Amino acid sequence: MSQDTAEKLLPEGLTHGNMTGRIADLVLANRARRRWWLAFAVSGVLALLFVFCLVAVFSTGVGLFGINIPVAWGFPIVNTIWWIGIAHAGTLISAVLLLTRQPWRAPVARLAEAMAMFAIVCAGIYAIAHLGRPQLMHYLLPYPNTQDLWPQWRSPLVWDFFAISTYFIFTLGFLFFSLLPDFATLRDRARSRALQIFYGLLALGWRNSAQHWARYEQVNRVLAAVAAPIVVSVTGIISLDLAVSIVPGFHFTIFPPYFVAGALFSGFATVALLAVITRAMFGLRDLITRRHLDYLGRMMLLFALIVNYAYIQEIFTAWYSGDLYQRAVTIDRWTGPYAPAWWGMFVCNVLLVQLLWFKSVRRSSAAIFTLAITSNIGMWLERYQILFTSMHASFIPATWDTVTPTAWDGLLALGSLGLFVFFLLAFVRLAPVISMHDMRSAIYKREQQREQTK
Amino acid sequence: MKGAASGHYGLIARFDDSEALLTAVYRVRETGHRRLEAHTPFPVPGLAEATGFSEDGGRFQVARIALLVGVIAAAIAFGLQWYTAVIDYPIVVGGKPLNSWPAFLPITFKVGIFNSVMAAAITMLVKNRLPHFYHPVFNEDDFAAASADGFFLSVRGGDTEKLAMLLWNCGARYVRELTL
Repeated sequence: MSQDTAEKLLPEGLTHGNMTGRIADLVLANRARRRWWLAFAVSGVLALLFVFCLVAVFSTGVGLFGINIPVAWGFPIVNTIWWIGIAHAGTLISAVLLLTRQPWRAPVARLAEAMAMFAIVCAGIYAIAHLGRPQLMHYLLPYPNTQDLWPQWRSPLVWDFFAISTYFIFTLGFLFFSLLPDFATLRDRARSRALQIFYGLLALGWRNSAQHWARYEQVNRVLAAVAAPIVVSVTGIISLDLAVSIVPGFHFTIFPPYFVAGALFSGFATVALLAVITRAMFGLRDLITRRHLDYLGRMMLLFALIVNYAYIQEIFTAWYSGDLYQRAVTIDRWTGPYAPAWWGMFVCNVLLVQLLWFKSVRRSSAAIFTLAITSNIGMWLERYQILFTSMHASFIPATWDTVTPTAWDGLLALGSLGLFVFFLLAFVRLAPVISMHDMRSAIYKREQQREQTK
Repeated sequence: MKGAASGHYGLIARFDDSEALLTAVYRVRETGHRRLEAHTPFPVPGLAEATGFSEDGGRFQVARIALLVGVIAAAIAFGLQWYTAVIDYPIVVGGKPLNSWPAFLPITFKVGIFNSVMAAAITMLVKNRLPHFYHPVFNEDDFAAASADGFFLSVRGGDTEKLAMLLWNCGARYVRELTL
């Protein structure tokens, strides 16, 4: 990226002081906007709906879901994969773009990290909800027990447990460390004693010491370096749940990279969506510029193209394997009872994303907003069709059946969206929506560059 | 600021930009002061080293500890899987060997990563001595600027008058006394 481009990412009159004041005031201003309260109330109701459905599922059982033999994995697994995928771009933006020193990362990194955090919460809850007997979840842990049993290490379900819990704690730590200096800023600017104590405790007594910053940067680089393999491995491991089986439609070696690309595609779409909403909601159009939307659009396009390549590979493999069942599943995806899902995915993920080739589309808030939504719908449909079409008509024709999701499936999915938005809205009132210390570093780098060119 | 000014801690000086602060750090260290701390709103390259942050043994310490802990944890995770699957609870699945090590790798990797991240985070906090809620620099009224646009140098102890002169000469906006 040229120096010129890096220059344009920041507005002209932005200084350390006025930027910090503006972002911190979004949090510390006493009164929230009415639109925020409205959104908070609606998402709060949906979050309660989520809790209600969870209680129903835990007390009644997974029979509430529209799952049965032959389709034993329905919405819960579709949504687990979808949510964890959304989380991935958050980690990628904050980590890989940090390591590669991309200057456009600073204003969207915090959004991405928060999004990752709350998406994992949704994914994790779904993973637990899909268990028939969640009260026995601790069987996945290796602990000395009176039954002399150990977990079955060759089972992807056990891998999942380790993958998701590691990812959860990693993301929590990453988010907290990224927030640490910003908590200090909020502590220093808060006027009421209660807020000073609240942010003071969270800031751990951070005093912006140069040596602290040096170690802070070291640990951030370590976390970022570790994050790259985490991004690849979590969805990769989840895809092995499917790929390790011999079910036609699941049994592809391309699954791990295919799922990771899809995860990053939907994740970047969600970051773009949140970026568009945030810049409108908080009047941050000069900090999160059209140029940032442009870069997010390019990343969406990149991963969409990888996903499209995977679709082609999937179809090619089915044909080239000569396997009757693999071919039947592929044809069934186009013509069977779940064909609308496949074609919906095709429209969203293959056709519509091609609009992102155009610069004017990438730079338009409305277009990015729309494409982000269609991309997420497309990715959801992709996970849906992979799970349902592969299982509903496999080896034994006598077991072929069509399974339809129930109202509980739909309500829980709606509730999880509400929970995600609820957490995000609470987050933007409690923590700065743009990383202030990253922005200060970016402003400092611009000053340095200007001096060099003088 | 708050409470009675009971004891003398040292001096704090505020500078206009990072260059002035960096120069001041070098000049103060030349006079033999070692217990000084620079406070900036963002990491300034070279500043930590100027205040005595040691390159060797320090620079990669966090990364080294993270790697070491990660490798040990991964080895333990693999060992546990191997022991339970081969010795303590041998069960043949799909005709695969008991020591089907490729299947043990995902968890080995995850446990290794998990522990190295925790180790890196904890090392950072311990070496920075955080949490550390009370510090005399917080008694400086304008210290809040250190997290926005202020560049501070705090020096502990020493000959107050000489040091104050030196700090003024370095171009400090102001020099104030820090109380305990």
